[in-house]
Amino acid sequence: MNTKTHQEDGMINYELDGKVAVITGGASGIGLACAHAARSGAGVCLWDLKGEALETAVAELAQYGNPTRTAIVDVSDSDQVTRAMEDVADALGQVDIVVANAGIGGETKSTAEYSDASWHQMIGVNLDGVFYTQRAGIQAMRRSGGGSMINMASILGQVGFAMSSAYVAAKHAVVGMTKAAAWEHAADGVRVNAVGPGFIITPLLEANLDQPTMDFLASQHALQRLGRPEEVAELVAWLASDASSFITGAYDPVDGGYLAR
Amino acid sequence: MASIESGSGRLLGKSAVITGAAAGIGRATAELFAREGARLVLADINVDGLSMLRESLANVTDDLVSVTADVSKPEDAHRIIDAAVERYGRLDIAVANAGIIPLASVVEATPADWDEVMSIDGRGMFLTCKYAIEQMLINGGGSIVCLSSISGMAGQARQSTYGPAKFVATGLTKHLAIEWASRGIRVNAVAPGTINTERVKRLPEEPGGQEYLETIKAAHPMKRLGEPSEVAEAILFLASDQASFITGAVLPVDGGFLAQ
Repeated sequence: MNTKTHQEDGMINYELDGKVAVITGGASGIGLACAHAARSGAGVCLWDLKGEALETAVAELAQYGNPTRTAIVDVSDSDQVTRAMEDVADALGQVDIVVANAGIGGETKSTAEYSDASWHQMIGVNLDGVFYTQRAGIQAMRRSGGGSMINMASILGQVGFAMSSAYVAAKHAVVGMTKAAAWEHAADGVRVNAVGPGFIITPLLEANLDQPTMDFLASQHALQRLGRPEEVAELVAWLASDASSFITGAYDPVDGGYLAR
Repeated sequence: MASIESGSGRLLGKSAVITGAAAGIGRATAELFAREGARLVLADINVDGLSMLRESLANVTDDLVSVTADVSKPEDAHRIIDAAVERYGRLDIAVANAGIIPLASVVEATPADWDEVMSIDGRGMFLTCKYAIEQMLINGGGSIVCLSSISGMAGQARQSTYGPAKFVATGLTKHLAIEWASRGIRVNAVAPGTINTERVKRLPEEPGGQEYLETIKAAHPMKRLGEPSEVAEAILFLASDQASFITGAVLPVDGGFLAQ
């Protein structure tokens, strides 16, 4: 019998031993937090654009004793995603968990002012990137006998937000894709779910927003604060585990009550 | 401290009330919470069911109080919360699960049927949450999980009284979450699909029951019913500190039923 223990640092053991997890955008923010949460036994593969950031992440994760693989992947490039997923399956023999987390924040312009280039760049990463990742991930997991696909959506996959039309559109689409894929692939043993974070304190956010804006955003959450990457990662790890075995096609908020109002 | 079989201590030291604990999802939740180290108050209207549950948990935990109560009665609902305070000094978690699940079309259902469901499933949940929150405010915080349902999100045939009561559960969850977020109290719900409880296993004995079961399985992408333990896991997650940024959420545990 497995003895599960409450980890000393307070993190839960989700019994992901022997499972292989791919996390896109894994070098920082929510992706890296997911890698920390998954390390209770999972073989983690981090994909990101930035080699240096990936190296730093690997060094940080070394404390858990499981080797972390990395790959430089531009998720908006279909071939890169396909090849990278094949590499994982070839090297490790299976894929059990895929977290389509890579994303960009995008230009802040009204719909009337949004440029073609900005729109297509956003859709390329936040929508096409998720599509390519989901497709490759489901193919690989299906061959492995099943698995858990987790798409990083957002509160903005359910409601609108000024000056972010492309981001809102992409996130809404991700929620839709999640539900369609859940119906299609339940018979393959693949669960597909979307996670809906509120505004989370990440390098992406801190780089782009000033304090008054962050304070305003905090006030829009019922809990009156922004979320932490670890709080999203807990939900992701739980959805990756067998504890969520009857959950598929769901949009799961981790949004401090933002959408409950 | 009593020995704990398996579990990773996710609710270690937390005092938790579970209503409707004697059977089905409530029972599965009680078993899981016990393994995770919670200090339990188990309430139900079914005395025999409660004592059988008590016996089965004897090797898992000593931290257990059982309360025979009808949640639709204010004095009973209050007694359940009082039991947690008397025994453990505080209340950390409340699982508002008690309820009846009658199947009746609006033509079949009587006014008395409506009143009964609204009294137990509606008012009973309101009272459980009310008294739990009043106590949690004294503690400085807590976590409530209400049992909604796919029927509290979408319509179905023959749930003309039960369905609306589950929309009440969804509504209570969201309103209470917003009302108490600033006071450290999280309120969430699970929305189970059709779950393989004792009640559902008896369905083939009822008129139209077998056909209903076959139709409902086909409507879940996973082509099966859920198990009570699967809902219990979701309740555990939402109740635990791992869900610290989750409130006002209604989490479908429905094998994909609501996804189309």
